[in-house]
Amino acid sequence: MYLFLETSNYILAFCAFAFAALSISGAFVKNGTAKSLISAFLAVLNIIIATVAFGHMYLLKGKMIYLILFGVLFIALIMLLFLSKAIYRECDRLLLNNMSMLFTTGMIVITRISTDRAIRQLAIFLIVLLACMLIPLIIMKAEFIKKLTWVYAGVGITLISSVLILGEVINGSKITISVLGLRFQPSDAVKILFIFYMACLLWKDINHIKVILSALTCAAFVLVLVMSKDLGTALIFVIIYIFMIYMSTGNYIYLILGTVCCTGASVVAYNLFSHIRVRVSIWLDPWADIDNKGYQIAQSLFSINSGGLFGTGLFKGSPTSIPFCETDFIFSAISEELGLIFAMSVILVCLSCFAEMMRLSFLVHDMFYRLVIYGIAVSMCFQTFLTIGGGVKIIPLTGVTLPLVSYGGTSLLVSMFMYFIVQGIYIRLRLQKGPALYRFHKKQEPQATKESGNNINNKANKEPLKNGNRKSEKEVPGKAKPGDRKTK
Amino acid sequence: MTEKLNKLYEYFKPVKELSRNKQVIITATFFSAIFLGICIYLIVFSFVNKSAFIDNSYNKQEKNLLQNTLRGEIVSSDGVCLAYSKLDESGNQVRVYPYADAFCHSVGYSALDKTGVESECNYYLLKSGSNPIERAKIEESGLLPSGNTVNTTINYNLQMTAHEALGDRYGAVIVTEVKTGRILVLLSHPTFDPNNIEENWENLVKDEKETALLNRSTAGLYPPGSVFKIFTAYEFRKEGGDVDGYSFDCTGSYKYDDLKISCYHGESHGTVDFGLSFAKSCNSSFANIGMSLDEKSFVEGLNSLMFNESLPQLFPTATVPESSYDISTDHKRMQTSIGQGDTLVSPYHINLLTMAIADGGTIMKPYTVESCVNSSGKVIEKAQPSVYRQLLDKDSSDFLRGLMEEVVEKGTASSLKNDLYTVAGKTGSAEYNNRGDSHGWFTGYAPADDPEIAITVIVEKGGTGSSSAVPLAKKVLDEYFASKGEN
Repeated sequence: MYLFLETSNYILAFCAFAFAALSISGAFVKNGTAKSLISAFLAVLNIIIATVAFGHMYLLKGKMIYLILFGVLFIALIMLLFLSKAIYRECDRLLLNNMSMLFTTGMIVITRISTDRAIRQLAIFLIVLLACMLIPLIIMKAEFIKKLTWVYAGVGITLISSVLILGEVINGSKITISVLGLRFQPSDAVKILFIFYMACLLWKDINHIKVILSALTCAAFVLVLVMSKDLGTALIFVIIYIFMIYMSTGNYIYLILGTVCCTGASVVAYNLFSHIRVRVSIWLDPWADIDNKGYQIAQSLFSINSGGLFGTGLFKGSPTSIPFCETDFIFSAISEELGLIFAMSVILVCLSCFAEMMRLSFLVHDMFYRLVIYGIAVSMCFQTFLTIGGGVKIIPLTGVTLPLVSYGGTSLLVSMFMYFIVQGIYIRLRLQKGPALYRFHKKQEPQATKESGNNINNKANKEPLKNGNRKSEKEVPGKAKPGDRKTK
Repeated sequence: MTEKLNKLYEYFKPVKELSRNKQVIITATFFSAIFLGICIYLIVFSFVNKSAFIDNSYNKQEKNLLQNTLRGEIVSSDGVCLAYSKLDESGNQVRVYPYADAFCHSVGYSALDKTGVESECNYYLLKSGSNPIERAKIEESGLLPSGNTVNTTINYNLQMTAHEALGDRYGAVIVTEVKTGRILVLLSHPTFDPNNIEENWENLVKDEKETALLNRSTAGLYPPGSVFKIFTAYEFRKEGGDVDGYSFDCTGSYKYDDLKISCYHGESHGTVDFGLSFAKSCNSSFANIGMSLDEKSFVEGLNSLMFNESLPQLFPTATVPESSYDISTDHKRMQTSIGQGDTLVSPYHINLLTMAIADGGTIMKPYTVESCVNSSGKVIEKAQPSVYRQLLDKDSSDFLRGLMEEVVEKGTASSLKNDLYTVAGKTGSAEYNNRGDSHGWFTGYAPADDPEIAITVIVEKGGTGSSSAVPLAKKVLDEYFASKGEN
């Protein structure tokens, strides 16, 4: 037993690292058989991680609750991995595996911090999971979601404005609203609406009016968010905007222009709002006011630092000394008790999710869905960067959560919705393209199938064939690198 | 104009038709780079701050570690355990210092605050470097795995000899190895008992008379007395003073205008050359030498000898301010050049200078921690001797060595002459009040021909250096060469 307790950390670190490595390589593997083999491995590793971590906690504390939690988590993971696969045969298993790994990590840390919260988190997960099963269906059947441009914007702005007016002030920020006793953080959910709004506006064509129009809408969102002191989410909106404009125009000038405007706006905001100045000064020197404002970040740095490569072991560190450890600083808690290798594996798994989503947006030809996937990928990736970067003091604290890992109903719900929207788009694509996409993976593209595939998905953006014999006239020769990459 | 506008428009033209794959690749590369950057930052960050954060009082890491690890032992260079931890009846860790107050400043203490080796190696003492299987075995038998053992350079025999020789008197002793920088003895009296420091803390902090918490050897500031003549001699030669042709007729005092400097107890030394002035510690002669020094060059010279700068940090150290050796007036000039001015020095400073003289001008960086080993004997960290600074040129150090040898040969430290080993050094009697009471100083190195150790002794209110500090130094040197002979 002692041997297990002493070595469990090394097992966890090894499994997490193996998972991350496999998961990253999984995002680049094209071969179907290899892909399913990797998926199986990932699932096994995931289960081992959950078993070892919960076993460790049970042996150390001897409370039944850990076993029960493990049992339910096990069922939840099986449901996530196999139920979705059973319902939608075409779903992306790599993303499912990554989801379950991130959620398992979150559950381990949340359970270690508070079993009550773990129960709540797990319950929310199960309910949301069931709801999520409908999302791919909606994506597949409902074409009208492409036309609701101003509905998204309207609902979004109404939601966050109502929070600004009606919301409760918690920890100095006005970002939560209570409905029927349940606390809800709408700004998180509005991200999805904003991504859909942008996609709706930009997918058919793009012109300067649309760029400016969307810029104004984005500014309205950001202004309301900054006023409710939700800086992290505000920043995410700006990034979503910049990158989606870049994606649809393909003009890097917008990327540069966006960055410049963003910097300018930050300077203005820095001078206008005192809470931003406070955040920046804490970031520059947390030690000056360690008793008060710098306490959180200082404790986070201590946590990250004290774990070493393999961590102190569960219950042997003190992640709870960081205020809001289970939401904003869960990454620090992971580094302390599970070790830097584990923590970095989590980063790599996030990266793998991002790479996989990017690959999917590569495959999807319909500009609307492509923009949606791209927006979701950018939003999740940037959010991950904000929360980890804030915890390790690369950037000022913004108070956003780590998708799927952090404790919190809204955050979990929104992240799962995002993942399943991506899944839905992928399933839709595979059902429509049918054999064509399959051939894609097999590296063989007989002319006939390819053509039929293109005909079905005959939107404004035709991907030229890889052998180039059907290069569209619209393409500027030399500039377009038609689909080479995915077939290599 | 229109052309320019068109050109501008071209730049901002939404070019939807062009390859979208490029965007995806650029975005993916951008974010991947950020993520990998974070990973690298994390590794570097935690490696750099590995042991730095643990001492922060807001950090709970130490408390956590102490629940799973028994704080490691501190062992002297001759294998005697100087500090260890044990569990009391209620399962709390208690730190035990078997030699009570003898090592209180060098080993330090770990309760409340941390000092000495306890502070320097806190991280290693708390961490157990043994592998998980060994740890599991120990835990299975119901014990706590212990942290790493720290081997210090402090020599138990020498330290105890010095400790006993100093007895009830106040003062400090430092012995260092000149070729490595290892500190063999670091003693400061009065002492306190680190075993019950928590109970006595209030008294120790309040007590301004004894100031037992002050490490006199490194942070104590004393008037240097005749020891300062080393600096004066160095400066005289550096300014091109005629050392070989120097001669002075000592009548027991030296007058300049209406200022008078007397030799110790008014003793007259007769006609002395430079070496003899130094060996007999003739105040009159050195006041005379001091009058010939250039003010600016003197201050610069002292600045180059670690005055007005912080010494290699090891323990709390003291810095000598430049204003204390200003020789702008004749009176100050005469007093300062015989070490009775406003200048104050720490024994550590004098010891570093002695190291430089003994080792051809080079100071090795002093250190007290030799190595950290885990419970199975594997060395985790090992100190490497390193050069701190080339303080003097070879000529100057040879010159000063000649002077210091003469002190033992026919001067104030002649009681150190013996058949077993050779010594060179300088004594000092630093008057600290108007009644002529003085602190006794000795600084020197041995063996004189091939120096191994540098020793600096100060005995507060000990009278002359020859009568208080020199006998103490002799005891320590005897012990050093006796135990060396045994090996």
